[in-house]
Amino acid sequence: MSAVWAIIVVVVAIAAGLGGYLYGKGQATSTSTTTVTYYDDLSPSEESFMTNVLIPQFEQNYTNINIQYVNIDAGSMVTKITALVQGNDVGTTLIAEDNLDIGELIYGGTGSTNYLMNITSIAPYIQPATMIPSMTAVTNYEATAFGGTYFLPFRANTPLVFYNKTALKSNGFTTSPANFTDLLADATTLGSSSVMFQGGAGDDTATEMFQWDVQFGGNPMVYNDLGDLQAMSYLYNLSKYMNPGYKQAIYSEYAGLAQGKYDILDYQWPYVYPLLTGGNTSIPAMNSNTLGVYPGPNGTGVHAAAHVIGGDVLAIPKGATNLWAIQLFAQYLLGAHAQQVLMVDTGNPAVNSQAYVGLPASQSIVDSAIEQALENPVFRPPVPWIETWVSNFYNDIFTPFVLDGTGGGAWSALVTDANNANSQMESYLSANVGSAAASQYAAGDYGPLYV
Amino acid sequence: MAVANRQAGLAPAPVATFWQRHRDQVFPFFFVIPALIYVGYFAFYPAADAVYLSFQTPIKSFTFFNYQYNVQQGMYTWIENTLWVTAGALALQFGLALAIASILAKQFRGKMVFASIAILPIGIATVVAGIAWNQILPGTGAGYGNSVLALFGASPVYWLNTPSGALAAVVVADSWKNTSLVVIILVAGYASIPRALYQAAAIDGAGPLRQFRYVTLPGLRSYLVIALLIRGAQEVNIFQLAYEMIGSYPQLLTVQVYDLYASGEGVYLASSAAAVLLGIISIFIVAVLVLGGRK
Repeated sequence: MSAVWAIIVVVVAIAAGLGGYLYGKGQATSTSTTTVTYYDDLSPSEESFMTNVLIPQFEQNYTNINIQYVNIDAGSMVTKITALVQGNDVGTTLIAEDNLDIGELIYGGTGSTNYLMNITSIAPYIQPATMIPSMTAVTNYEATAFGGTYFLPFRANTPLVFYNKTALKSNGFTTSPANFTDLLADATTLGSSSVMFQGGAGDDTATEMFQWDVQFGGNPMVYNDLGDLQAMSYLYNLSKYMNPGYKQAIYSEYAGLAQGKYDILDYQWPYVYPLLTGGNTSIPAMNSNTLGVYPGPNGTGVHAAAHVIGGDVLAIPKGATNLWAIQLFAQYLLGAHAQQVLMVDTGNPAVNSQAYVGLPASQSIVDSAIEQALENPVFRPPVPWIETWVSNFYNDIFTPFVLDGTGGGAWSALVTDANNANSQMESYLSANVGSAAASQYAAGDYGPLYV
Repeated sequence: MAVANRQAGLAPAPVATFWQRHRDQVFPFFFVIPALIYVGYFAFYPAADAVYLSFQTPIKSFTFFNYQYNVQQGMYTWIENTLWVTAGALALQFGLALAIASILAKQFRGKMVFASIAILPIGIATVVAGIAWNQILPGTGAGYGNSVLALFGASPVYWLNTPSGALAAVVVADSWKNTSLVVIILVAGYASIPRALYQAAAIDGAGPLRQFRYVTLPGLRSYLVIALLIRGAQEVNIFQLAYEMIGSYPQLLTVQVYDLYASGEGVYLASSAAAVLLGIISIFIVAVLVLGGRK
């Protein structure tokens, strides 16, 4: 019996000791390290770089801050952050949200709730003094539009045109198409299947057409002004020379350029540059002699060289805690080092001009194109219904007129489709946002942003 | 009984309670209540919520706006494409499965190897299958399918160039992935058919086709119904593989639900498309049960 008691005492003692140790360890951890939950929407290669390179480098410098990375797509991020703010459960959180979706967090569901923190007072400590001028203009625009700073440009992104220099040279072209007239003429010479376009999804297609509409002198938000119609009609004519894969092509389509399936990739995001030059078992590596990249053909009129600026912005959800840790991490992400390595390793254009200093020679080709494109920025308005605008464009105009070829490319068919899209957008706003927004839309008050 | 007891001076017999009278009928339900709660909360409630949301907007209650809007966006085409994929895939899967199962019903050397090969695709993750078939039948003229054609000197085929071609590619890929499930069910069905029926039919002069029609099919009826229910509902819900292969064009109902919902503010529009999807599946299930249950 005494042996039994002895065993019981020993077991209880060990359990108590273990419990005390674990409790003490937990207490020490919680007081010595602050965890920042960082939400971002990255491709697998980008995520690998972020979690294996960039974040560890930050944690090495700031041993009292731990970054918990959460990969979540841009649309779901809106839902997640909204729920966290509504549930008063934000914690220490920083988000990198797509510029196309940030408006939903600023305006909320019915346009009256802002789920982001006003960071006007701390923005000067986060945003470097060496921001690219067009990015500084974004924060100036915020002060006018929203009465304060709610997000900071983080990864600028702008579409570029990539082309096979060898294929163009063999057809007598020594330079890339300077304007849309040249592009169509070159495509006619290069033949069918010579051009690739992202026609496979709403966001990707609408983003490119937003830029083309502006370059043709139109207001893409209304779908049916003259510039919009001219851009869409041009696209229909160019589609005869597109590789048929354009109907499913999205941001991940680039391999065909290296495989010789098409000669001009109009357009793609800069991240594909290291992938095309790196190559793999199924994609032959291209180099500066075979791969050309430039901002793309110009349109007509005042905004002929406009370039849609996409990318991601940093923001802090309302109610976030431990702002000092969030501020340090955001500062790091916008610093010259992080911006440069993001650009070199993942192809994301930097918003910090210092990041372009001292780059490897191989990087200078695409960076030159990026810098040129960023000189003439145009932004999509951060309205909460922008994705419905995208959906309308894709379903009401692009699919019937271009993909299905309904109407055989006739101008009258295009006008009908575009007018349908316009009236549907207005009725959507009336039913989901309110009559005031619908009236503003009908009056053409929504349009591209030039900052 | 109560009167006789009173006359004998005995205490009246106790009246049985409702519970005592119906215990044997009611008691078993207590064992299924947890399952009912689980199914109700995780299946029926979300479905009912989606239907409810389909008639809402952020500023309006009970409106048909979402349905009208989706119709104008081309919902009839989404439904049509979905039904074509469903019908095509089910026809292909059941035809192949019947052939494979009839082979596996026999004994022959190498049967286990053949069975393993036939059933292997079921173990492949759907997203992996989608990526693989995207490499075989891409839209750009590249891919393994065109590599094989090139061996014979043929020109590259743009498999996804037309809506019908793209839907056919999805049907083929989906059938490769899911025929195995139907095979497994039908092999079990074949095993349940008495051999004596085939012997009797042979004695009566029935050839293979008549044996198939008058012995095999009736014997497999209930198994075919089960397979049709399972695969039919899954087929109408096809999403992952189709999204990998053809994205948003041509449009399928499930992909449109996802695209609308993923856009953030389209939860009401997505709910109306999802409610239509629910209606189609419900009609299909009822039809199969009614037709398949007839003697």
